Amino acid sequence: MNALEVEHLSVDLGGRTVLVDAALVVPEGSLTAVVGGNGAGKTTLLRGALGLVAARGSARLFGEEVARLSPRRRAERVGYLAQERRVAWGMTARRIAALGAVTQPPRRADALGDAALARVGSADLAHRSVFDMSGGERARVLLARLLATGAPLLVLDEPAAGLDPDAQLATLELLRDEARAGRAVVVTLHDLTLAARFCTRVVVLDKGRVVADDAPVRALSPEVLRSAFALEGGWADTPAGPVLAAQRSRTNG
Amino acid sequence: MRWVLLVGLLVVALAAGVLLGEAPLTAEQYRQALNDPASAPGEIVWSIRLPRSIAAAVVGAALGLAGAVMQGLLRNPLADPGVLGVSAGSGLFAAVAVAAGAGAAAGAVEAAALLGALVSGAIVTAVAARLREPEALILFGVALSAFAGALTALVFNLSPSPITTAEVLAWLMGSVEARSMTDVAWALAPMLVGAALSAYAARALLVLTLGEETAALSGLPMARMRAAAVAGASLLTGAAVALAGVIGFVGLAAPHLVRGVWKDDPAATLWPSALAGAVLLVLADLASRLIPAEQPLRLGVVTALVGAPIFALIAWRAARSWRG
Repeated sequence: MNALEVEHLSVDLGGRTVLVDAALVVPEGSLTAVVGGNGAGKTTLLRGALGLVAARGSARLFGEEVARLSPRRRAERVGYLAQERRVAWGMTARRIAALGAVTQPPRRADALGDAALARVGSADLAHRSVFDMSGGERARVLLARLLATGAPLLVLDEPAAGLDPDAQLATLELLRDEARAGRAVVVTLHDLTLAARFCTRVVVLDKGRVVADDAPVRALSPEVLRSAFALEGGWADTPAGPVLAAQRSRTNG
Repeated sequence: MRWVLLVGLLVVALAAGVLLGEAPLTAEQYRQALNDPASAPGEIVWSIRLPRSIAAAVVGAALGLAGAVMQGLLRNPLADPGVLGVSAGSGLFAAVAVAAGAGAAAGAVEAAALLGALVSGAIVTAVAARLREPEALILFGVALSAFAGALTALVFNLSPSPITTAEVLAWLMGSVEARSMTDVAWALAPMLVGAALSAYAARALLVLTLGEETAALSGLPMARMRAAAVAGASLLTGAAVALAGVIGFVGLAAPHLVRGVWKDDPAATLWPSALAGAVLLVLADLASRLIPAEQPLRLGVVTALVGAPIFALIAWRAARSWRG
């Protein structure tokens, strides 16, 4: 079954159409990357698909229009990790992780939060305040909060941003494992090599339009790299997977 | 342990509020008060000091809770009913009621104060739905507060009699002097509704810690909970103003005092903030009675004198943490 089906989705922000007639299909058991330059509409696509911004068109979560789902039923289907990692209060990691299951009874929520903290390798941080953590540690705790939702569809906006290489790989490996275990996962990424290495599918956005939607290396063809990213180059096969070898187009200015 | 300590502090503060006052009593008089409540010392202790201290505790608890709710809702340690204009709106309505001669009708000014808080609370809610950034909402609250203050000044300006002016001023400076248990009971009803709404909204405050979008997808009915939080905080504030006039900074300081002990959790700090607010205001009322002055010090003046520097301190710390 498809976890997410987006059709003809358009979003206007500030009098400008920032997402134009977008389509996106995310089957269960897949890890899909949404890529594109800054301002291409990646975050808007996710927000529109999840009903976080007013949008025209259709977005279905497991077959049901997102706009018709109650907050509770929507949260049962999808968990979302926002790009914004600001935490307002210096709560402990344990408390933050348990927020993923905030609609559950407290003891169950704590258990789910603890299990998720262990899953991301942060059980040792359980009683530390997020204010006393490094950016990477905080990102792991927020990832644990997402896993604690137990939702069959996970949507992550820039989960790799600001992380060191090891943490980026660890995050993507974890998401790939979640997808292999049957969850549907959607991420936005700036690192195209990470996208090609870990994702089953890549959707490329350019100026609010989907310009490619295919297996990673096919979606990120030299033509798409040139038109959507202003890059000249292509993919090199390495033992670790495909690696992007590219330089800026001369027309880049 | 932390609960025992906080409740213990409140009991000690209340005991001090009943035992100490402008008129010092001898041990013999205390004994008399205990044995015969109708005696003169008994009157002082049971009919003047006790209701007044309880009124201070109730008002402090309401303001402390309202402050904790608003800080959680706006994810900002500087939010409180005063900062957001709810207190000023409440004071304005009370002032208009006094100027219109409603002071003669029992409960009319109090009802106006409650209504004023609800109206300004509704305005803040309506604006909050459009201004998602907490900082923007606080600036709006400052503007709302200033406008309500300007209208209150206009009431002064146009008021024909100095008696009205004095009466309005008394509302704006806040006091629990000469309050009866009946007054307290009337204010308690809307406060309990406000507390229930706050309890309902507690989990919304928790998930808002991670931002609006995460909260929106948390599975909680955020629109309803957010409305409950604002309505609850407005009821608490309005009832507090109805009972004691405008008293600032308790809603700001109380959550600040307990936050560290309750690990920064915006839901867990709600009730400790109420207790801390009660302790603060009972002590402030006691201070207003014990500090020798030509005129009795007004409670709102005492809290403002202590609270404004605390506000500056919190702002200073918050600004540093934002920078870092």
